[in-house]
Amino acid sequence: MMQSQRKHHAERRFPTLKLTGVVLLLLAVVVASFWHLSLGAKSIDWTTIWQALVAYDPTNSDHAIIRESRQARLIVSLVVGAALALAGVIMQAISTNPLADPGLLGINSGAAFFVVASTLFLPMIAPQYLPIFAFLGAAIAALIVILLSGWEQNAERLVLAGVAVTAMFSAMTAILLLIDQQGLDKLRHWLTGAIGASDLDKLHWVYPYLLGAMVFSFLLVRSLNAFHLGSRVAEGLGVNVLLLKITGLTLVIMLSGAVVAVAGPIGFVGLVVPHIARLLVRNNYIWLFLYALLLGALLLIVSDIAARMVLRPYEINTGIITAFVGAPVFIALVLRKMK
Amino acid sequence: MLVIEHLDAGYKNKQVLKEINLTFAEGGFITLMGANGCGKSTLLHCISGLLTPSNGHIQLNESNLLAMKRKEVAQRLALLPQVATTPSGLTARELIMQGRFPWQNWWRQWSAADEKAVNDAIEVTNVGDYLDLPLEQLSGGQRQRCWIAMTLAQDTPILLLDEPTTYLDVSHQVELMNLIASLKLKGKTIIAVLHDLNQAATYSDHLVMMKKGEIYTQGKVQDVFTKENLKAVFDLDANIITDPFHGTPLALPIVEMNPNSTSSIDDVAVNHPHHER
Repeated sequence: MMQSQRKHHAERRFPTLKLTGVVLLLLAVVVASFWHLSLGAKSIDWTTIWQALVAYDPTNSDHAIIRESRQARLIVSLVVGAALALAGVIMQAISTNPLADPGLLGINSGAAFFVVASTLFLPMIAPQYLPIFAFLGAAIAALIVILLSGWEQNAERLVLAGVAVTAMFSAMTAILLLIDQQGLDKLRHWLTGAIGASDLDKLHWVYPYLLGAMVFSFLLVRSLNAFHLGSRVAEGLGVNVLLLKITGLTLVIMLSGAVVAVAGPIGFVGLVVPHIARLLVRNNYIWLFLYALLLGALLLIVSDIAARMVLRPYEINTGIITAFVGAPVFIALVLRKMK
Repeated sequence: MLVIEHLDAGYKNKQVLKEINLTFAEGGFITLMGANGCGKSTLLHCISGLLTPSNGHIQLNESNLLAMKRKEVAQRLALLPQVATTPSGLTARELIMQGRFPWQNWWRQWSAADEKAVNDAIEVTNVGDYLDLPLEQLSGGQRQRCWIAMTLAQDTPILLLDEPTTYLDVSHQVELMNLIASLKLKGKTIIAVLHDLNQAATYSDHLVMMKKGEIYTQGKVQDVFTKENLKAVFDLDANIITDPFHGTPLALPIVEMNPNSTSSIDDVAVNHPHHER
């Protein structure tokens, strides 16, 4: 008995298995990144990619392609995937709802509507303020969903409210685009979640918010672990549940708003990745967060590769690929819940 | 000593508790009883800080409980709410370790004191055999033992238990009640909501009977657990006999099946010497 207790003690200090998982995922992300960088009109071999990254030679045209064009797309994919996945984990945790996802709950489409509206009606506003509108839209959508579903939501009502709000904002966005045909061309691509259309400049506007939200998320880990036992148990343990929910929701709004401002409303990453992460690490939000960040980045890189491979030489929007992956998972989750 | 004075509490548009005044000495097993909706759980929630009362005062020894931070309250009172769901993906040990939450923060992570409290809780509740199994694989009784262990790991002088034996088989109920009663010997004060009358009468030292948000009566089990009070609080017709093994009172509800069966219960009750009070 003593021996087994000591063993577990040691195991708690050195979570070897979970760390190995993190390292493996990290490796997978690196490999996928190289693959991602190698793809394009001209395929470039991995040695050249490596040289372009570590010993950049601007006169070498291959190096220039990697650094000037492809690298940006990769970084956007990495960041967007990680942020969406983290937003999904937090959203599912604070709503105790396995179907919660910033995309399904209308938060992404609210942000998208506000971005579209601001670019059409307030063209004189500098583009670096775009994320502010995205946050505003995300926050308003979240508030409407909460009002419609009640604070102590049940799962079905929350998802229904989310579907309704998504439909409403999508319809409003469509109306705006009908009014302004030129805007349509400019924004249509972005609206289905286009990694290809985004660039590093957009990422520069939002990275302070993204980085801040990601770091701050880890401060919630202990409270989220307690909250996992149930709202009342958590309160009995000393968690301020209302504060936890408000903080969590704010982080979700910041993460998804920033992503929408950069790459448009990419759906289902926040739904799928938390479930995969939970299959791998079961509980403890510090690991769930780490795994979700890596898995989200991986999923988005692979989706972006698929977006360019499936219908060559045409390119599909990355958001369409994630929807292809995510929709079946969503249906499976709903079916399991109904049983 | 826990003192509750002039306590009013309720939810949005419904007052549940009216003018509650109670004093609990340290140690012992106190049971709150009453019909559904009488405010037993609400009172537990007020004491543990889950619900802020609209009026009144709760004092624990020298400190005002209502003015304390949540974590400080959680270092003094452990609450086991009615738990209907099993948290997914946790082993028994991981659940019990969560009991240390109020004692930890970012600059003070897992310590020797935490380790000791968890090991003590495991030993007292005797859950050592299934510590590393997922909660989903445990029986209802085993799982409830783990929840009790979690509240014990919280290492508080007072335990608040909201219907801890609900959903359990009879044998598991008895096992669990024996466990809870044994905690009293370790110096804990136990305040429980129980819905089984005879469990309450057998295990408690002190009974608080509530009716429609007010204290109907309270006192030692022998004094309070009477035919008249049960009728008034639960609208229950029952005879009281004395448990020949424990000397505690027992309620036998009057069954209206046929004349023979009721009269035989009366016989037992009347023939018993302790009943004449």
